[in-house]
Amino acid sequence: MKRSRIKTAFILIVLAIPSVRGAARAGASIDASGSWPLSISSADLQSGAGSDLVPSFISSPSQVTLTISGTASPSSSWRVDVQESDIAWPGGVTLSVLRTSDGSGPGIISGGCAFKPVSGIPSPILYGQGDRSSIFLQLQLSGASIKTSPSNYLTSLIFTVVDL
Amino acid sequence: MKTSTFFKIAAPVLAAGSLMLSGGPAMADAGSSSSVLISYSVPTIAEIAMTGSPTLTLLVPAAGAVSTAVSDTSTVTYAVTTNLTSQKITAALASAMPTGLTLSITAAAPTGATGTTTALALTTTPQSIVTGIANVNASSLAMGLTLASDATAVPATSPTATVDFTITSG
Repeated sequence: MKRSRIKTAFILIVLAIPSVRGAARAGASIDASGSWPLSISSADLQSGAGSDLVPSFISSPSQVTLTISGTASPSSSWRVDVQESDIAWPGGVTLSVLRTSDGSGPGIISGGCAFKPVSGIPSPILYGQGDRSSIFLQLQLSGASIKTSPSNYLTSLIFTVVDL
Repeated sequence: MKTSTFFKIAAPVLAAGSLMLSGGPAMADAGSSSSVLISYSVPTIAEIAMTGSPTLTLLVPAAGAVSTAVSDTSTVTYAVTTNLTSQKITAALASAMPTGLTLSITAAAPTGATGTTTALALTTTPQSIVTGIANVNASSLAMGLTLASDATAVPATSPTATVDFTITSG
């Protein structure tokens, strides 16, 4: 009799494990939209012939829009990480991200109020709670130079929302 | 018997707990992701700019002699920017010089390139004066101009010469 009770408890524990993991998978999700096809030209030289390209290029304030959804409640905390996955990207050229709007939603948002360089390693840029939409991001490209050969360069900015 | 039963059950429970603990942090890191593409294009950039318009005056020579050549090595400078390799600068007269006059040029080179240190007589045909230009921006590079005459030169008042400079592949 006593052995039977112990076995029952064990089965319940084992069954509970997939249940807990399932809840974690149903957490916040993120959608990023937008792109930034930047065209540099000789008009972007600092002072014409003899000079290099301007130090940086800034996108529109709403170049990228983030939407956080599927949070369990308005008080469910999350974090957004960003990283880049270079497809064809020259060395020395850096992308930075700046949050330009709070977006809207029942929760809160913080962080990202200064340009933060993006690397190949995930790095937090935003923190918040609850669902949130229309979070605008501005991008900055710096380090472009006439040392870089004419070509088309491409990278992917990956945004990941992490439940806290 | 009790002890034996306890261990049989405890082993899988601990194993399950271990799975759960390792699964927890992994799920926190493996959140939902979405990405956007960022691209930028850089076209061919090859720019050259000149500054300065020197005045070269030949003195009337003594009878039976020719004028001494005059030079200016400080008035004209140029600036160049290119993101290409194997570029050169050519120079050519827009129109032929008056009879008996020769305009020659020297040119300093940006880093990594080769200029012209020995005066090169200009014609209406483009000639290379700087070669081997690659991925560079430089300014205040000196050009020297020398005006010479021979016995066939005819005195004239303020004739002008225009020199066309071009940066091109080669």
